[in-house]
Amino acid sequence: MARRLFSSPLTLIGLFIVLMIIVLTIFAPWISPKDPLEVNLGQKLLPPSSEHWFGTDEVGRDIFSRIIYGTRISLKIGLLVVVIAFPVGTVLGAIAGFVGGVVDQIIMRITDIFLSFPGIILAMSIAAALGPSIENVLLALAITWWPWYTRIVRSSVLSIKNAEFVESARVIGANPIRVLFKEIIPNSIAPASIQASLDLGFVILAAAGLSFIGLGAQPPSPEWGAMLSSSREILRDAWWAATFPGLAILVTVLGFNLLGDGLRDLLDPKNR
Amino acid sequence: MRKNNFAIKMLVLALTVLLALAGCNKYNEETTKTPTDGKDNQPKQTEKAGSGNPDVFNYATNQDIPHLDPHGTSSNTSFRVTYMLYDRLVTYDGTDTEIKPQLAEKWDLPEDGVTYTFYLNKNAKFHDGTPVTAEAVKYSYTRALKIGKSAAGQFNGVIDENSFEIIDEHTIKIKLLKPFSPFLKTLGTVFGNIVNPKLSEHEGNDNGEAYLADKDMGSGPFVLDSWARGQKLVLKANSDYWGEVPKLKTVNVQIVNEPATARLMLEKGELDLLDDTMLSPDVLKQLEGADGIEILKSPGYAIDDISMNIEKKPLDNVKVRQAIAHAVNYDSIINDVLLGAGERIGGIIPKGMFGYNDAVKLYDFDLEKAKELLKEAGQEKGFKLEIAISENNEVRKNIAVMLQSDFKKIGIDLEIKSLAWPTYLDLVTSGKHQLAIGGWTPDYADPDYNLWYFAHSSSKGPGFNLAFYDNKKVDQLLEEGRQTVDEGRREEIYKEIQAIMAEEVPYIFPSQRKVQVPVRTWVKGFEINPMNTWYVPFQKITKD
Repeated sequence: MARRLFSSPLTLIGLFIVLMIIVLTIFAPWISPKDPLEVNLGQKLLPPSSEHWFGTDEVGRDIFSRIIYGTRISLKIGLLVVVIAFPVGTVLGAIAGFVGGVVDQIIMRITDIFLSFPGIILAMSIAAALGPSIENVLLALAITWWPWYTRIVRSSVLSIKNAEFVESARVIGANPIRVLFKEIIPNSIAPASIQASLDLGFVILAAAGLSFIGLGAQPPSPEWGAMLSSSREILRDAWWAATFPGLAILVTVLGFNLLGDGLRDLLDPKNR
Repeated sequence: MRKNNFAIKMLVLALTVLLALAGCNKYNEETTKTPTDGKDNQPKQTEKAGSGNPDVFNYATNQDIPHLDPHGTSSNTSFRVTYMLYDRLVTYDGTDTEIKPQLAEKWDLPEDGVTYTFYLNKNAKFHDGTPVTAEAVKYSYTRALKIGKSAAGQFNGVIDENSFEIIDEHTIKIKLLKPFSPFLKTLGTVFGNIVNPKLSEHEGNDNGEAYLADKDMGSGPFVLDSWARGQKLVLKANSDYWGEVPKLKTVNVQIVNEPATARLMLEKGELDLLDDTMLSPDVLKQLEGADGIEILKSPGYAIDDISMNIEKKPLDNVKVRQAIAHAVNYDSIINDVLLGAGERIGGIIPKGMFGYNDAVKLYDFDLEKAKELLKEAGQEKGFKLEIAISENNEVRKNIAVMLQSDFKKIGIDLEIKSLAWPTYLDLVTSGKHQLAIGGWTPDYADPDYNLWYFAHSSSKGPGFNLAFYDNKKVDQLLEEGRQTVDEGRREEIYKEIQAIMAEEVPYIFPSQRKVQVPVRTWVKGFEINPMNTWYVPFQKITKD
């Protein structure tokens, strides 16, 4: 299995990026050369140099250090959104598929309501209604994200609901809840978990987008989207202030997607 | 499956690049609607030659125009337009902060302290051709009071519906409820705009507010030609204007949301002038010396303020407020944030205006002193505070971030709340804020204006006393100042109020701003009024 994983160079790159981000997240205080929040107006908008690798921003903070600390925020949002949305979506989807009938109808119609809005628009309106903060962005994205898992899980539950191993569990007298959690969910979760690994990147991107339009991270938080947003006006005179946060988002999202793709190739039985 | 993966990757890449280039992307949208399309039928060649079309003026702001009812709006972007569509009895012009005659040729000052007589210009007529009469004056002021919004704030308690006596078609007497020395100055503001009384045919049940929101019923040098909300408002010169007809035939007031876009358009010559609040000092510095662009500089009466809501603990303690005042790095704000385009000020009366007190207590940036004061107040353990700012304002954001960094050193954990303008306004006027950064420009040059709003207890909240400051002595002095005619005594009163407020610090005033406006060098006749910096004298501007 490991050999198959490493046989794809793209997956390797993805894995490397993700590992790097995890390392940066954990060791941010030791790696970053400066305090990411320390304002030094006398040194504002300095171009990249040996002192400030990525230059300084509009209030003289070290961009390199801010980007390193930014990995914490991005990773936290990505993981938490998936960690909240995934179990909720999975359990609801499994119940819908397994129980069927009215319960299925109710759950799936609610899901449809959520899916009928474009995801980012729904997240925007929720975040705007709750007020701008990174926690509310997290909540908004979690609320927008779960229906996807519900759908995926429900369809795979439907396909294994009448499989022989489920039947045998029933025949030996296991109660339905046990069947659901011990037989159905473990055996239908794979496609959704692949989706979840891919989603990490998208969630980070969506959170950066919300912060960019001012609904997410508030100053002085070194969130990449917010950093991009505040460098908009000086883009032409201080290219570094926008370029490096932009690159950070790009590399991170790319990393998670490459890794997600690799995992899909590895785990999806259809690909074997 | 493989193809699909590739597609997703490309999509992610594209999205990321899009996000990174969002600013530029916006620009592409904008350039497709160059200001030349639409109403003016000039050949394309003239556009390319230097100054573009000398008859068409392109102005840009990044703040939308809510509506055009002169008595209902409190938005600078609306003021800018209605000041051109309507005339007033008296007006402000050029760099002068004193009134000049407009619809009123002359007036008699009161002998009894309250009765003014105005003699109207007999040539003045509204855009539909009907003459401007004493009836129109009465109608307009009564309407302003009835609507009860922004304009009423200026007239309430000064006049009511029984204050008017029409002598003849062109003469009107206005009797004030009680003496109010800045009365004539108030008539030159945008709230003194005279509306065509024919509006009464469209009044409905809201005094015609909805009807007038997107129409013009004035007598001013420009008429409203078209308005695509959120994009562009077009003014045409009123060729039958009773006064001097403007040289410009068309003025496009464009809404350009992204300041970076506006800057590019200015550099390319697609815009002639930008709203003075649009570009940050950093960008203005970069623009300095750019080909064909000039940064006009002028003294201004705009003052930045940090209000401290004294109804919220621990801001009710004067020692805490003084400590905070000592934790503001004033020099850094002026030199590093404003890049020198401002100066230190101790109160809300700007330097250069009548009543300015140059001897008030100034707080120096001294963190040790701040800590000491906090200790005296029993707050040495530190506490949390929130500061509200309106979004899309680079300068205020940078000031807030700086305060956050400095306050941390004295144990105050400052949280920045960056809010959309309507949300911000709602928060601060309802008194739910702790600290808030704002700015203030007087509508007329009288100390009563600034101080009444900032300090009188009746102005708490919606009246813009955002510190919820309440001092009986100050109230009493303000009321006395309004009714005093003797300028010397008035000056004393206002100076005393400033001294009291500097000691009690309900507000911190980081700086008095200099006005800096980026303009194409081919624009002539543009003068900056220190008081109404929103005011662009389109009727006097020419291009060559």
